[in-house]
Formats: sequence, C-alpha cells, structure tokens
Amino acid sequence: MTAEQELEVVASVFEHLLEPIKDINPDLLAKIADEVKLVPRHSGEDRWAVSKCLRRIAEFLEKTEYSKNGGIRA
Amino acid sequence: MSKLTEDLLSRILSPVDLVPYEKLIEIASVLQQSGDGEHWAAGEVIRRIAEIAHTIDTGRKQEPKSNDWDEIFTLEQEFGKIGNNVEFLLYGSVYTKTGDTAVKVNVPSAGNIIDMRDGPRTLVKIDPLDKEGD
Repeated sequence: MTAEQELEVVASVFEHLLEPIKDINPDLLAKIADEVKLVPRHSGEDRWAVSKCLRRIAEFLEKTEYSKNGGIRA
Repeated sequence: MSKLTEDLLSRILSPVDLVPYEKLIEIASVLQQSGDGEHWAAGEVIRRIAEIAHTIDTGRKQEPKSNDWDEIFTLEQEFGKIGNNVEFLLYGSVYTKTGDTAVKVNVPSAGNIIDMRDGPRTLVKIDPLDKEGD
C-alpha cells in the first residue's frame, strides 16, 4: 500500500466522521461543545474531552469552510 | 488532500483517547436525545469516533466468537479470500482473520479497511476481492 493510498483511507475516515455535521454552523457546534461540559452523570474529564473534541472539529469547520468547499477532497 | 489530513484527524481524536468507549457512547446518546438535528448530528460524530477508536484499540485482542466465524465463512463463499489473511467488506463492516484472531471493525466506505495486523492505527485499502480465492 502506497503512502498516497494510506492518506486516501485517512481522508475517508475523516469524511465519515464529519459527514453528520457537514451542514452545521461552526458557531453552533462550538456552543454544543460547551453544553457537553454540562452533561450530567459523567466525570468532568470525560465531558471535557468530548467537548474539546467537538470544539476542535468546529474550529476546523470554521477555518476551512469545510462544507462550502465540498469536503476534504476538494 | 495531504499529510495535513492525517494530522487533523489525529488532532481531533486525541482529546478522547483516554475516554472509555462506553462513556463516549453514553454522552453521544444524551446529545442525540436532545431533540434537535444539530445535537443529534454532534452526538453522531461522537458515536462514530467512539466506534472507530474502540474497534481499533481493542479489536486485535478480541477472541473470535463462534457466530463471527460463521459469518466469516459465509462471506468467504461470497467474496473469496486473500492469502492467509481473510478480509471482507460487507455493509460497512470488515472482518479480518489473522491467525487465531478475528475482529469486526466499522469502516467508512467500500474498499477501505482498518488493518489490525500492523498496529492499531495502520489503515489500508484493499483491492477488489478475488472471487476465485486462493
């Protein structure tokens, strides 16, 4: 398997992850990320980690205008 | 697409590296039960992250279940096999058989599999399966 093929697979995984939120406003996603910190019955560390993950996705969507550009392959 | 893609994926996933799969799924479920599409979508992203991370991290250690093997052998008949390692793709799931280990991992699209043989984060893409087998 070539390096290019490996990257192609990584891109597929990436697109798979982002597909559900491809049309969501990054600001709204960031707000949801903040709400995750308040999810009851979970440890603060877990909620922080999930929140951080969503926030990084939101930052990526905002910086790249991901959905407007047609995804990572564009 | 570039190496940047891989780095971005790693950066996004790294915060939840130490969060147990069950916890991720529970938090995803809370979001998805919130009642609007945006929260549902955000929860779905977390669910997908959990599924991928979980199967990559634990897949190699799992012992095959008898019904997994039955399914693998059924798939062998349908798709053929590759060398000593049998790899199948069906409806978004991949079955690999390496020695005594069988795992099932979810994959994003046809033709892509997450290879458990060379390390938990090695991703490979397989060619169309040879129906004649070996």
